[in-house]
Amino acid sequence: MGLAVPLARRAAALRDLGESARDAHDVAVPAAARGAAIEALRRGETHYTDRPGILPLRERVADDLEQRFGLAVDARAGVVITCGVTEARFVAIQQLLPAADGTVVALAQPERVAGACLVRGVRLVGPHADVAGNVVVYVSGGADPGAREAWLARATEQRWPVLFEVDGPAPHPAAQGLAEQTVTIGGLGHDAGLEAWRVGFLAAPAATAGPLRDFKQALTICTTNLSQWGALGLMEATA
Amino acid sequence: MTLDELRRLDGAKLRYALMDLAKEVKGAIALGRGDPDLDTPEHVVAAAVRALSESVQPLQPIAGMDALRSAIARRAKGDHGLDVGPEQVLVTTGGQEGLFLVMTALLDPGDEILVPDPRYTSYDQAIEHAGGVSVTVPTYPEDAFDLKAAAIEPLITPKTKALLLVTPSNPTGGIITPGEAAKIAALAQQHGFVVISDEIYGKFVWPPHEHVSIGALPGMAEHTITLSGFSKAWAMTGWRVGYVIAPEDAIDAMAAVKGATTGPVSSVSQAAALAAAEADDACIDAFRTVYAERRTLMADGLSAMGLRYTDPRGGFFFWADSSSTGLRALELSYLLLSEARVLVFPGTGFGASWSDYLRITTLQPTEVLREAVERMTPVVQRYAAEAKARS
Repeated sequence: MGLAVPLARRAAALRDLGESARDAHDVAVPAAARGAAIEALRRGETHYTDRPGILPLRERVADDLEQRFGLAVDARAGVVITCGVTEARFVAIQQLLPAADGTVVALAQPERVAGACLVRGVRLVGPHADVAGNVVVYVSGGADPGAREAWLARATEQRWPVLFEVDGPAPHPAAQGLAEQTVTIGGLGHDAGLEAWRVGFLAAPAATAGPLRDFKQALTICTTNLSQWGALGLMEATA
Repeated sequence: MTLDELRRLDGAKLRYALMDLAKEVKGAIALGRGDPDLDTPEHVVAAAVRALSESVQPLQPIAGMDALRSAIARRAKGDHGLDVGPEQVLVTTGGQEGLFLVMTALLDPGDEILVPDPRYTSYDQAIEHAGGVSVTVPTYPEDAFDLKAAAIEPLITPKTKALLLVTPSNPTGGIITPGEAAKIAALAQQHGFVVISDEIYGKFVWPPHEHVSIGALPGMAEHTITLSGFSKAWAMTGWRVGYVIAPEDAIDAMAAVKGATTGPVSSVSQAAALAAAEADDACIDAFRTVYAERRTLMADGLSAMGLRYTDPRGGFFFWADSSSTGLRALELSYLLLSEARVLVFPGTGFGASWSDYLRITTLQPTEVLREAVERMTPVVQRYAAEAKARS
């Protein structure tokens, strides 16, 4: 039995795209994360959290970005906790480009942002494409260093936003002077077995982060409460 | 934030600005957000703790854990007469993501969707993002804000793709009656549109009224997408588990969209939701008793204050008319926060034309709710007396 009316064109296209890439890691969830989540439940942490996420976790994310990349981020106004890195990618692409008017240049792993581009109605191209107009440069681990340097130079010149996914040892675009135009995203504990808990983040200068936070709120209100506390427990244990 | 700054906001931005403002007011009682204060039932928390004891927690399928989809399908049939299988269920990151997925999967740019006025404005954001056009269907206090087929019919055009039903309604507490449901079902089948039925408050319809799932009516299975979740019925807002029930092709499409939005729902939350869905309704019955008592308390309180309201037929909210105070609802809500330290939402948080209405929740412990009423009463009565003296 099917729906009595046609689905939207983008829905059919997304179905053709298939299920998004799932980089599942069947590794044990550290006891620190599980213990912190259980403790949170015992405290009654079963309600909505603040929409950008619990403040201690946002502060931990900001500290981590400063330590790893020397990036200064305002934990209160510039960090949003998301439902995994998937939501961070999605929110960023929906907000950084106008609907149906722009291009995402993926320097690597284009499949990670393909669905988000399709929903927004924007073009997704690789590093060899010719682009103009509204552009977002998606930078993740695995990008060719030469292409990365060249595209970040173009982003600087054109004032294009950069979407940087923390993924391995790659340097932050801030190292090339792009801190003010970069949205940084990542998963929390994804490599430590926490991927199924669905916690990620996005971080940006406050003026950029505000609309991202609002859109995230409209999409899922907030991220799962106990998952946030579990991720915080893990980060505190490994700091 | 000043009153003038608040006047420039509406919808969700206004609601969140007021919540931020309330955080700065020491001892404020929040009767704003729709977050049940009651604790998630113990057996649900216990299931989560058991899940957390597993060292390896694999990522679940995008559409949801098979066992949870099956349990939701069984409940849909048992509770509401929706004859569906697990393949017609999509588990979502709260009901809010469900409505976003529905709008994204259903609406092409320019498609019209009929929406009740007033309404929870997050629907508008999802519709706008999909490129759809909202067409408002009026509801009236004399009908207890129930949505009527007669108000819908003149607004149907060839571009009408869907109708949004919210029963019980947030913010008004209006419902869809069996008679109106049958008329609306006939319109949907005649004109070929989909009914999106948000039933997140469906477990809390107050006697003698009864909850109706329009998707269970004859011929409506292919014309209905039902939205619901665990947040309200099981006091599980922070777990973020909702669901969509729809024909399989629509579920497949929404699952594809979900792969791009958030991926699967948290595995621990799904384990907890499974425990909720598989148990009997004893905990919900207990919640209902508590909410019914609070409903009486607030109704009596509003009457004593002199604020007019329509008895909500379902849900957790009162939709009260502020005009007896001579103040716009935004101004009154601002004064109630500063003078009575009670947060309530002005009607413009739910539609531009509702500047004389307040949404007041009953989601605080009874003694706190009583305290809120006691604080509000002199403030409301003082402004009402001043308004009367001026007239």
